[in-house]
Amino acid sequence: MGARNHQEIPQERRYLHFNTGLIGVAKMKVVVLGAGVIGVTSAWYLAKAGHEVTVIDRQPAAALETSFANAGEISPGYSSPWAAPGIPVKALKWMFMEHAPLILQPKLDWARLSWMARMLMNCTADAYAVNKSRMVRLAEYSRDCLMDLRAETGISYDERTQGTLQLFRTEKQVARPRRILRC
Amino acid sequence: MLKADGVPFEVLDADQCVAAEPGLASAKAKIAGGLRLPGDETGDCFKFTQSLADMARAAGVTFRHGISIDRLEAEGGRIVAVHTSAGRVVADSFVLALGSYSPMLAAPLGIKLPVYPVKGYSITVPVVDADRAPVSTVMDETHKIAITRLGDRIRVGGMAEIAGFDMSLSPKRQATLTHSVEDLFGGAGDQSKAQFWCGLRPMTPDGTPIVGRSPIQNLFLNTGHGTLGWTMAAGSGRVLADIVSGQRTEIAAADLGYARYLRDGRKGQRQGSGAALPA
Repeated sequence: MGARNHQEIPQERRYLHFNTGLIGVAKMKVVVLGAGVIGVTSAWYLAKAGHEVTVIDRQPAAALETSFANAGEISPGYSSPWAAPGIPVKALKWMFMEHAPLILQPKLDWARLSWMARMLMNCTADAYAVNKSRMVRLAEYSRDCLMDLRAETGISYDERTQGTLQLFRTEKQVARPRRILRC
Repeated sequence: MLKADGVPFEVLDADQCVAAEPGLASAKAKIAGGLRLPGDETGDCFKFTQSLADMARAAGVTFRHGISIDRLEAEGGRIVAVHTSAGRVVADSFVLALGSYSPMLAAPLGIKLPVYPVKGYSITVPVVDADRAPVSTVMDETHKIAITRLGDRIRVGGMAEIAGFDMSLSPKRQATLTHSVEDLFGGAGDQSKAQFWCGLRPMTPDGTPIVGRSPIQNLFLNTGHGTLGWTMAAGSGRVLADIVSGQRTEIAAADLGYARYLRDGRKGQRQGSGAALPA
């Protein structure tokens, strides 16, 4: 199943990173606020572009907050918005399950209400399609960048490139994958 | 190989699921089928970030840790400094990559970032029986929990709790994670040594992160990655660096930035001059 590698990526979507000579970049002093995975990758590429970079973070080291112990998947295939057709009804069901995947604490504040309202507005088929296309574009590009970064630096992080498996326990779940991927 | 939206996938029956993940053998009766995405990868985001930070340091990046960030100082339509517990730090450009905390720093500047924390939990257990352990990531669709092999450990992560910035660790959530992994990969890990953790995913209402320019010329945004910060980190960092440098991005990026909220936004943050904001 090695099909996923560069053979899968059309030629025009393959990129050479660095060594491409970023001609005409004015060297700047750049401060990056936050040393999670996003701040550190930003700092890395900014430094590679020739900028003088300082990263500021409240923690004693990098990746000690949300980047610390996530589920570990690098998953362009599942890069979909949570806001999707049918989700409002499903969300209600999830909240009342044993071992609930969704928990809504009853405290309500304005920021949360307005965020949830905007999420509901994104649950239309049209909005979902637009949002998903943006996410998949960035996620696939990101995996390509990561491959190049590995090749360039030899960075290791208990990585595996064996795909992921979504497991269904009911026939109803089995019937859904094509819809999940397509819509 | 089947493809949807260019993403290769395989639909598997229970036997094929066990062939792909032999540790599922004793749970085969519970499996109706599976969907394999061979293009996906796995890895430890913490190890990656720490290693990349070390490499960045070696390449000349300065890391100032243990410093809290108070506010951004704007003058003449630009950010001139960031005020921190260690004093005022000046620069030509600033990148906001504070995850769920990004809106607090942007709000006083009139930038309303629609990023809200969605709490997730994980347990990490040492592998005691490798034959029973996952080889990659298995997503338990019923519980929306991902079980990932990270070297000699198993990481079990999931759940979405909307609880503001609360960071408490409830045993009930741990029980859900333990239930899922023991149900599918019983005996693979030592649950008595589980490390229980939670984090706040910075979610946007449209799922797409906010990568690129802000309405302030020298303030750049890289936040709002939700559950996909690890998945999108390298690409987001590269896109952001290209935009800061005034270089052409390698993928279309105009619709990944804050400007989309000014354009698409139906309420709250319409700004007369914002519509023409470049990528």
